Amino acid sequence: MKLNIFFIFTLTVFCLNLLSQTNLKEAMFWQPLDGKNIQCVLCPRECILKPNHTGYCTVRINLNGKLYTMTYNHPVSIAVDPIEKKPVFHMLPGTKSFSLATPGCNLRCIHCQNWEISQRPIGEIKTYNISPYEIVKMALETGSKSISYTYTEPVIFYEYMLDIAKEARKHNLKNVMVTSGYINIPPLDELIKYIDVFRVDLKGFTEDFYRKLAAGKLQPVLEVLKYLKQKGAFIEVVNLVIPTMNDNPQDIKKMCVWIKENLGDETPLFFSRFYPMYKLTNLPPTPVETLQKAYQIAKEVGLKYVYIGNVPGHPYESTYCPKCKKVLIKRVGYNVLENNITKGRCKVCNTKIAGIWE
Amino acid sequence: MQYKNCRYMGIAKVIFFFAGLLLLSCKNYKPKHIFSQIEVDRFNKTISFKAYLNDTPSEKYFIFYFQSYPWIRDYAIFCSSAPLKELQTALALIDWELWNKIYTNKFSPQMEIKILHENQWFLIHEIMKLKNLNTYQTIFWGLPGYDEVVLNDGYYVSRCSGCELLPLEQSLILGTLQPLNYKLIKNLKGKEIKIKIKFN
Repeated sequence: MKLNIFFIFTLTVFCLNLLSQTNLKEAMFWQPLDGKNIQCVLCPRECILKPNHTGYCTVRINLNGKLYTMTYNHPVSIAVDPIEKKPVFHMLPGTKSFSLATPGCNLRCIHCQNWEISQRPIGEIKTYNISPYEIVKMALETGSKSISYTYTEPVIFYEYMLDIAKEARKHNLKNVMVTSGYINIPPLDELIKYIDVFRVDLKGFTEDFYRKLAAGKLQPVLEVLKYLKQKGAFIEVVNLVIPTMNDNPQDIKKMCVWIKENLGDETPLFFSRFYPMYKLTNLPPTPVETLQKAYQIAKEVGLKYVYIGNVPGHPYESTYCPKCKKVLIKRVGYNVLENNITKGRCKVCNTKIAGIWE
Repeated sequence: MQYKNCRYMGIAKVIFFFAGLLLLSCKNYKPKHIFSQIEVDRFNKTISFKAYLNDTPSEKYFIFYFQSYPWIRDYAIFCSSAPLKELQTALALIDWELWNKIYTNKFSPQMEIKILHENQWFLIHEIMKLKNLNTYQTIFWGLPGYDEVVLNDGYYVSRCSGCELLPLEQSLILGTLQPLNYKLIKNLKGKEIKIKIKFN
């Protein structure tokens, strides 16, 4: 009997030790199925995982009938970026944002610009061991005003992001989630309480585009955007314009109309330039004329804050007052040269400008 | 007399008023902008920066190198400690359309390069003889497909520790370029050199 207790105790200590060494943390949002199979319900893929198998994201694993996240405490990239790099233009312009990512992704974009960390197996990538508390400490030490969950898809490091975001709130740091919006509503609901800006990629406006280029679906992303708006979250939308893939003016118009009707005309919208990347190197960079055309379409539809991204120095990188048309924030690349917003209003005509300014 | 003084005062007030207006309108236009290591004069389309002569024995393919792809440093005659990202932004600030052409079409702009030597500005051909200069080889401007990975120097973790980008980068960047085959006329060794480039 004594030997049995000793054996169980030793085994428990060994297992706990193993868990702490591999930094596995039990995941949220999953349900048990028959036998030891389980289903992850974090994102619309809703993967069914056999024992010892990972989900599509490659970083959530079924161990002994429980779902664990393998990325908790394991950032792969950490940097102090200008907030303009996200891009987020309507929150604390000119400030630093402490940015981090862990490996993995729940989409398979063939033009991914961070494929080295999002699409490679987790075992191939060197990561750090940093707790949420330490992340917040580092953010404060670097003078950052916000923490951005970015580079890869933060949905796949949900628990880590949530704990950092909670800790950040205690220290008056803002939270920015740079996401594809590929997440189920219940986990999103929990997250909304702590995220200040959702910077969502609306990659295209057809199911065909999502299926072929991202191995995903458009509809769940639209549902997420609508839900965020309904809950009063602040959203900025980015559309990467890829020549011949999603640059059809009719689709761009449909997207702009949808944004105006469902998210409101004050939603900032970026048309970003594509550069050949990862598995999509056969296409040229997006011509500036295409981006300008998309800009005109969005303005004609009635969106107030439209931008062109990845073309440093372009006049449409700057924010203009929707009423008096004066430059509110003049930008070149990630640099803010001029800021004419005071207390969230245009200095010239006192119009209220959507965003988080203080 | 009193009447005349009053009239002069009136004119002076009007002049002061308009001068004030002019000053206010000029306040927002800043022709000079200083990044951390590059000074930009938007009005004269000029950038100024400091560099040092790179006297390593390897062949040189570019005149100027800015901090970016570390292996290119050896192939440049002058190296600046300013980041390439800063140079890219500086040019975009001067003329974003010119920058766009250079970056996406490998367009070679007309440049007037001056180097400060013993308190006197010299044109580059007065400082060195260059045999094979293709204007594209004046400055290494970066590569759209790789810059996103390489120029994000904030990363604490090397994102590309396992992949073999270098041979690809090398073939894309050096490709068919000829070595510059240069000869210095002035002695610039061991000095920090001030350089001014005007874009035409």
